[in-house]
Amino acid sequence: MMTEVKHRTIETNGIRIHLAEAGAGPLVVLCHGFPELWYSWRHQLAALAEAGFRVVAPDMRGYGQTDRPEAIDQYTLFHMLGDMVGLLDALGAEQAVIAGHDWGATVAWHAAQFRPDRFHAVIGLSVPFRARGSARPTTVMPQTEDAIWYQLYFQEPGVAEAEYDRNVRAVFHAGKISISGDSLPGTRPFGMVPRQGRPFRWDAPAPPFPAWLTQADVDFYTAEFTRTGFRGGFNWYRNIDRNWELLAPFDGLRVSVPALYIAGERDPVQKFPGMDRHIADLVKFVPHLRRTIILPGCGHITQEERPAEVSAAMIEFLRGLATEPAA
Amino acid sequence: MTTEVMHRTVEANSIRMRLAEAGSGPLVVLCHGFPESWYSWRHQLPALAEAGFHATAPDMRGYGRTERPEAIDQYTLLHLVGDMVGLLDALGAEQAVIAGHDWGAPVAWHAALLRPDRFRGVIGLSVPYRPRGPVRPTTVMPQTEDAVFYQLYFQTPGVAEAEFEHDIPRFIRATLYSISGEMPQRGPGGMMVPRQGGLLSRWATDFVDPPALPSWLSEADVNFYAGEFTRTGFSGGLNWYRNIDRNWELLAPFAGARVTVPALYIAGDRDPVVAFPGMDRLIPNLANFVPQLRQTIMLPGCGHWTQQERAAEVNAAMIDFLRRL
Repeated sequence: MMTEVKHRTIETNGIRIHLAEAGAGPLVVLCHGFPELWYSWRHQLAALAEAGFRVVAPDMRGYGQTDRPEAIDQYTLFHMLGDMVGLLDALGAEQAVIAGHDWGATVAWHAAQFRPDRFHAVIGLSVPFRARGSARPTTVMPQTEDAIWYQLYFQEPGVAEAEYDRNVRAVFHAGKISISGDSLPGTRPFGMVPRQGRPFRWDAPAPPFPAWLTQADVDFYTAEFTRTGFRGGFNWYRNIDRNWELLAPFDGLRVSVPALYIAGERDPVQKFPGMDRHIADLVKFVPHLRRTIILPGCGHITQEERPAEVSAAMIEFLRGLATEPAA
Repeated sequence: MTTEVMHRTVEANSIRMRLAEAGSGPLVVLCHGFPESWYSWRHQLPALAEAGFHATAPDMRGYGRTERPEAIDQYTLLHLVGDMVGLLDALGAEQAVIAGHDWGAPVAWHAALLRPDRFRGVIGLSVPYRPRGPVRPTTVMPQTEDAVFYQLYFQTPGVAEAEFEHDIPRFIRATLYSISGEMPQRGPGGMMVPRQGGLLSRWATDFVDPPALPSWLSEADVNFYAGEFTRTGFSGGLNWYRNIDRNWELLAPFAGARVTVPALYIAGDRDPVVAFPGMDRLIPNLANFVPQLRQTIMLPGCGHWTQQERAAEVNAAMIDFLRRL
């Protein structure tokens, strides 16, 4: 039978958090990325619930029906981690497994790093654990005379909002496909944004829907972001340097709990500067990494592009935790 | 001889940090409080060195010959703990025991909380580990129609600076005396600052420039502190207080987390800190939050300046704790 997904709002860490939940059993928390929603986990909510887990996917801070604080400094990684610890407290759960995709993966990895007593295992999709670098991140992001790294483009409040807020449907249709495994041949690799002219080709004709994306999906995202705008999500990027400062105490600290990393072979994140080093170093900083799964032909939207494979890998990992000695 | 105190500057967590150090052996890091200096550990540096430890006391961020970043948000507890992790890295030390007094104690407790892999033991003087509370701290600090808790008085940039920097030697003498064990009796105002007139309006009642210095404090000591603060001002130290609410926000991920390494807590029974709101419940129950708390030592008659007022007893207790680790 179909597992019913229920919705409610809790109050924790000073904000109201909307969450989708399903199933009963050991708790699994699912953290979405940019620009996404609880809805990005719609396939996993059902699959994990049917496999015997209690699954909770919040709209993360700044997104959907969760609060969107005004001040940029309310979007540090520490606020996100506080939200996730507060979520466990609000649910009355001593422990959970935490999974995340894209920016949500960074939240999940650090939740496990900071609070192994609360997050006893971690699953990262697309983005691996990245050890803190020696330089302030925005000072070493790519830039040329003609173009800048998209994370630099996102820094100035209002600039990226103006583009995205006017082209919501394109973000979730052509934009989403362009970073998936189904990107059209000749698509410019995602990353650099031209300094002059339009940053993105919003006017390009929308490609046909691949099997994993429907009109209804695009409609759902479009309706939510038309209502909320993208500012909350961009504000995460506006704390990259602040996060780097605040993470100084944790330099060299490992993620000590069992972990699983899954990414698409065609995910642009895999080609980001420095990512080859982070992926090579993964076992060094995540010594209990059980597996790295690279999905052939899959792009950035891991759990939406390959719902069956991702859910199966997650369930296998989760079931393995119950039978293995603790780390 | 090995107990000579040497000075050098290292780079840690992107700032230049001045250290005093002595001895060789397992590393012990000593974090001073407000408004102090590496000099507050002058008695511990040689004693720990002679007992077989490498003792190092930095001028903490904002103080002395360590850098004083301009922006207030550069003084969060995460910056301060980051400095201590960076200090270990700069010294090439995998691990250390960390001790702190006054504001240095929260740095030490949180260093042990956040990095039990780097800080294998913790010693807190005056200020116990305080678990994160449910509400923003400044919203629950004492205030009346006439007066505010001194930590609220410290919040507005420039106000306390102007008062303290007016006559620095006198301010240092009064500060070191007025919350020491020698101060005969404090008025009912406790640590409250009148809304009109500021802290110094309590000259002669609660904030006293003593006719003679207590035995543990010399004119040379006062002159050392006065010289440092005449050069640096008090903004760096006051900026720590201006991050109390920000610290509370940023520490949300650690709500309910315990300090898991072996710990020692020492305070004077005449220290005003042990009479702060809530301390009467916290101190007897500290082991709930610091399960490996080996001992709580309350020094009779001792005031706030624990390791300066009772150098010999504090040294002995620290060395005993260190040797048993």
